[in-house]
Amino acid sequence: MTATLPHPITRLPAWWRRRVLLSGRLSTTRIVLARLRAALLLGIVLVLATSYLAYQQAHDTVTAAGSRSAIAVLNASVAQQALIEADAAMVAGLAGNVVQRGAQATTYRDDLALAGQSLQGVGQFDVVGNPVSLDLQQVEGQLTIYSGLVAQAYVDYGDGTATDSARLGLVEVVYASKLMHSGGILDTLHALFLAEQQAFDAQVSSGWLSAPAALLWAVPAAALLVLLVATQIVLARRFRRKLNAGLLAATALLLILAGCIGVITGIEASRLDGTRDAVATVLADRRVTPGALSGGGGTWEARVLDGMCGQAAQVGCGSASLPRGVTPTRQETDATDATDRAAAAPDEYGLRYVIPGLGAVVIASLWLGIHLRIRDYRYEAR
Amino acid sequence: MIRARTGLTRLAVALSLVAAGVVPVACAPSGCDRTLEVIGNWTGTEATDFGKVLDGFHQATGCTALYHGSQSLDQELQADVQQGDPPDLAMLSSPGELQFYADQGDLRGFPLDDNEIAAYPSQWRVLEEQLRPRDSDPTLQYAIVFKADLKSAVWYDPEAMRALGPRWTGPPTSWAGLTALSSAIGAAGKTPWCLGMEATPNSGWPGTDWIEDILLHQSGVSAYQDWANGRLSWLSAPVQNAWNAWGALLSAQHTIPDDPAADAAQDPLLTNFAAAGTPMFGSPPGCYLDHKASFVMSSYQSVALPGGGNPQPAADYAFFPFPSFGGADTAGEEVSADIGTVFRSSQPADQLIAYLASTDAQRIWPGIGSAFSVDSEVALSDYADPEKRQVATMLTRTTDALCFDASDLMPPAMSTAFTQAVLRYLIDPGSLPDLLAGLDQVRAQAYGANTRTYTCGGSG
Repeated sequence: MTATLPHPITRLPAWWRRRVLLSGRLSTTRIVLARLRAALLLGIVLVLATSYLAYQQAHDTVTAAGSRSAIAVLNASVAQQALIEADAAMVAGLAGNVVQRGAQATTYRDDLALAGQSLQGVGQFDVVGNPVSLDLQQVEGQLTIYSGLVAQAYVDYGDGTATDSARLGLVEVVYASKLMHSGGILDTLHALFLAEQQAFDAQVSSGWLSAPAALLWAVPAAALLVLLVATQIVLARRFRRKLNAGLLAATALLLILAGCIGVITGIEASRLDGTRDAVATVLADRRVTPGALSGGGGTWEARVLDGMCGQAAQVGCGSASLPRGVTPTRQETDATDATDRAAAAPDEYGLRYVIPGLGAVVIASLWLGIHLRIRDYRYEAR
Repeated sequence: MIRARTGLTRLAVALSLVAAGVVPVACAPSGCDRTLEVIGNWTGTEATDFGKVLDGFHQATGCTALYHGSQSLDQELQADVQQGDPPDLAMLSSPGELQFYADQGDLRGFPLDDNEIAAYPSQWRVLEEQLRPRDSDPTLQYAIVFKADLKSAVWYDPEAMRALGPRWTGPPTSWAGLTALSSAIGAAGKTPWCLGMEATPNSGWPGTDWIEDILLHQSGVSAYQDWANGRLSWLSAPVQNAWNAWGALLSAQHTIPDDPAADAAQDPLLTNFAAAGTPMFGSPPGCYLDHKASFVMSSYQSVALPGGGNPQPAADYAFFPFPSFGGADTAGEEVSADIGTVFRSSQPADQLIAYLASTDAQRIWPGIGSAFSVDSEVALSDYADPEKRQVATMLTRTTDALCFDASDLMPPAMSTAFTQAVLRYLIDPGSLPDLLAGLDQVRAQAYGANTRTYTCGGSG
């Protein structure tokens, strides 16, 4: 006589079939419920892991871009503008009278100090690493030389009455200006600025902030949702109840979780886009153009300096013009806006804790929803 | 079955033994656990060319070195050293600065194969030995001359010189011949000398090369050494004569424009030293003679000729050695060099500097750029053209004394005052007595307790 196994167990894998046979308690419903519970738990764990990873990466990117890269870019642009204006003031100082020279010396000193602070800011918020730190070192070294040249030039120029010495002073001013403009400080600073800007742009256009990255967690979430609905249907058919409250709660919480992640990531990405636009506005505001001495062209020194600057530094030096329509007030307003936006871009709304917290509740709901059904119908092994 | 088990056991034992031998080797630190940092003042093409030398090091050893070229090398290096974070290697062109680091105990010794040391001519080994820190390990090296340049050279366009007609009778071999040629060109209403003093941040040094070369060839090696070592007054006859000789030579041309605003393009104070020779290739030439170190060849090769193309060695540019005044003890050449030193000792750093000193590495740069090696095993055929071969010959032959650029040997304060004095002298030659008096005052302070003595290599 050959023993015939009941129908459902024949479809189980061999190792499972052996376990069931050994347990001596065969229940198709129990097996189905257990498998569903396992699949649902596996699904929610997968959704939680992928969503946490995707969100964390996106949030970290926004945080790095908003609170570091954007600030480094803004600092580098402040340093660029301050140095061009400091150099212009330094040159213009020798073209004017004693009173004008004093005023320009103050501007020069303040701009140089501002540039120094901004360069410190670049170093503090830098995300690029070695190339930028080497460039920063170089700029700082070049600025030391520059300051020395300027000091020497002013000493040699004196009060401008000793013609030969004054002429040497003017020549040395042009040397300093050349170090600033022509293959010198501003070029190194520009390379540094570009490195920071590229890092910022790469963060803004990071894959973690794009729609494809959302698929990483949205696809498992959608699959889990389908499985939840299918489980509801199976339970409804087998137990003649309309809805399982635990599964319903889990479904609702899953939808809320997915919505939270999607919305908050979207908000952060959108804010970062806004930050990028605001930073771009500031950079356009600060595109200062060096030019010939303005208003002082009548003096011998101004004429000499204009001629010398064009020859040696390959730029006009002695003035610095803001872009058309841009005023210092507007620069300040735009810079404040960009800084505020950058600071506000990363805001997680506690999602770092919501995802695991809500996830734990979903797991508990799933477990309870099926577990109670198993208990209700005494299909549990004894 | 037992046999099979025994076989498996043997195999396992054998694998274990192999693993025991292999794993420690594989996991042992190769020494290249980080990228080596090298700092120097080469930028642009020179930096690119040096990168190729470092590529050779990577291929030879697997170690990576990153080069950082900077205009503000001194400031950066000093800051790094003070912060306790120096680069692994530095390439410095000023022995005066190297001496500062040697005295501070910042230089690290490195072993070098005796054969490599012997490949460097004795004139250059003298310089390397003079840079040795006090109480140093005699078995170690502290500096190697990585590349060198000849400074005692006057460049010209052979075609342009021939066009001068009877005024050009070939390269002058004496100072009198040079002044006669300069005067003849000036008398023809042309500009004899291509002058450019702008070399930010050290503008004026091209003029210091003039004074040094004249002093060496006029008053001799011994006076040159004394002057470089701070033992010869700036008010002494040899120094005054050198300045006056330069002034007399330049009197053949109207040096400084009367109207600095209108004639800025002709102002040697504002003309970059590397670009000063460009008018030599104009049609007609804007100037005829260019006193420059051998590295100027790379600048020439980037000039666009009026008829198209770039100047070619021998055909478009050639040089003659700086002529002697004819006195005793004047057979010498002024040279400069980039000197490699180790600031952070490690096995890979030792490997890198040993590689840079090796003949294999020394061959790379001459092959691709305008650098010159003093390694006598680098054959003259490694240089691409006759001008380079002549320079290389002069840098390695043992008949002449090789005197290092004096301003690079001087303490930084003295050197800066010297370059500054050159600029002032060009604006107002009449101020020479005051300038020299001022320089002598600086000398009294700048050398301080410095007791080091530099001698020209090969001067005995």
